[in-house]
Amino acid sequence: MIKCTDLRVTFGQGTALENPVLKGIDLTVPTGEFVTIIGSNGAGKSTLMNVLSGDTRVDYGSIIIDGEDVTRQGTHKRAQRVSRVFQDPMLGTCASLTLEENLALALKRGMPRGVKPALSTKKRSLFKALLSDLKIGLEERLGDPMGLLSGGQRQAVSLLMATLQPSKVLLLDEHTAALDPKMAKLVLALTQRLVVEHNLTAIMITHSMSQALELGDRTLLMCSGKIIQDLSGDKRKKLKPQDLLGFFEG
Amino acid sequence: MSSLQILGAVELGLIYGLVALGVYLTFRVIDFPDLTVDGSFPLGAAVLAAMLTTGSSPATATFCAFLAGCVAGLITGALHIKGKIFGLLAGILTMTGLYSVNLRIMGRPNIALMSEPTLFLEHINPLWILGVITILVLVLLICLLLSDFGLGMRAVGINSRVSLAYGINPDTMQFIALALGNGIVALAGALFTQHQGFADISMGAGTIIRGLAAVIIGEALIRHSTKVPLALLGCIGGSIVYHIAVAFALSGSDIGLKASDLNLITATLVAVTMILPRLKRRKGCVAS
Repeated sequence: MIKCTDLRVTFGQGTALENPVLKGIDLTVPTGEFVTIIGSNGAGKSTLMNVLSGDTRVDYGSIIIDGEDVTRQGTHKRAQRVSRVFQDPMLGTCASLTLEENLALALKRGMPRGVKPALSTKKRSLFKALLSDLKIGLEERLGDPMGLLSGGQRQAVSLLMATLQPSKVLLLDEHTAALDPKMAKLVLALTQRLVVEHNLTAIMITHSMSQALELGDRTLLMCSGKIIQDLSGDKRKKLKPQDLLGFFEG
Repeated sequence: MSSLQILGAVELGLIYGLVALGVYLTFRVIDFPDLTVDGSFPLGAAVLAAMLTTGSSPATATFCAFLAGCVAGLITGALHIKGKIFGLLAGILTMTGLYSVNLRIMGRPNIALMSEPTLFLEHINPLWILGVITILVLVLLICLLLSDFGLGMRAVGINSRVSLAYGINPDTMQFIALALGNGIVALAGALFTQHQGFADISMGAGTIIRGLAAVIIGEALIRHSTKVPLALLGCIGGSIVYHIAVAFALSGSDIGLKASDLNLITATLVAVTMILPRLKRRKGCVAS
């Protein structure tokens, strides 16, 4: 469970360019819930993600994940509980490491890294099995540098990497925005499958209104640093993508 | 060129191969342009010479030289990571400070090793001794970089955001790589002093460029493979090729080069090898 209380972030505090990005976010997400967030540019969606992952520190408020206060924890400490898929497929993996090395890196998320060899026959067969589940032919390319894969393939691998180790929270930051429709569909299906399989608490940012309503159990609308609508259950089911526009205009 | 000269070049190539490994760790693995090495190479030499002349065993003195280099690397790391000083400048600051430290350690600008015992035992060919030490360091480094820990270290240099997201602290990794890299360079300085029989305050000048030259030649030798064992082997190979080439250039009296031209040649070599691939690429673009 994630419990955020009155999260406030201001960029450039005390300067002429002072810009309040989050103006008091209260959000509770129960374990296993899949939340989608939609909002205009500059609404604070990405900042909220960065705050949850630990990349950005809050000026005020607290974040509690599964009973533990992580507000002051850095990204690498929080990695034990929080995993993340980035928007840019080129940024979410290590381009000059091989596919299997990237997976081995992810396999040790939040765990001590010792001096045992990072790759073994056992790990390779695990990776191979997981990759063949994706059905995009990556199981034959374990030794290829990540940089040789297409954006969609890399994003699929990023998802796999993020869910390789059990985590409490999965953050998805417009992770299909840079993909072609076919690949986006595949990655979204994979997202749903993995979230259910691992019973993850997931938060996904999207710019697609239909995606926001179709995926997951709950949709948040953000506007200038605040959550302006919190939709779930029947109310959400009845909504159509174009109805969402009304919330922003109103 | 006589076989003796080639042999000498290979021995020097092995010693500077260690420098190349240290430089590879910082420049390539964690992507940090560390100039500390121009100070940590003579630091290793100074510590070793000072300890040998006061009666320490060569093994202890060599090990202490390695540790001293590690400390130098940690200082650069602290300046950059904790003090937020620009990486290049952090290295230059440590290197500059080390000049005075090295003079203090040695007590005078140079020390000649006369009758002190060294790691180079009289009845064993120095080439074997250098070979064994270099291979030992090489194998240990390969094992380290292929381990879970080393994979994390490499990830920091490639994509620090991803490494953070997977629970790796980039600061810690940078500290360790800087310490290890400079430790290995200081070890090379200590071996150089025992091999050549002297330590001199100015022997560090150009170390970084020679190390970098070896790394770059090595990368050309292995055709820019990213495989760790090959890349590290390339550093040593590159260093040997470099030193043979230098010996060749200097031995031909008809070319008219002097030993003192070495740094200019090396700097030119590094600059050219860094510019050439870009020119080629540009040409390729025009053609296509």
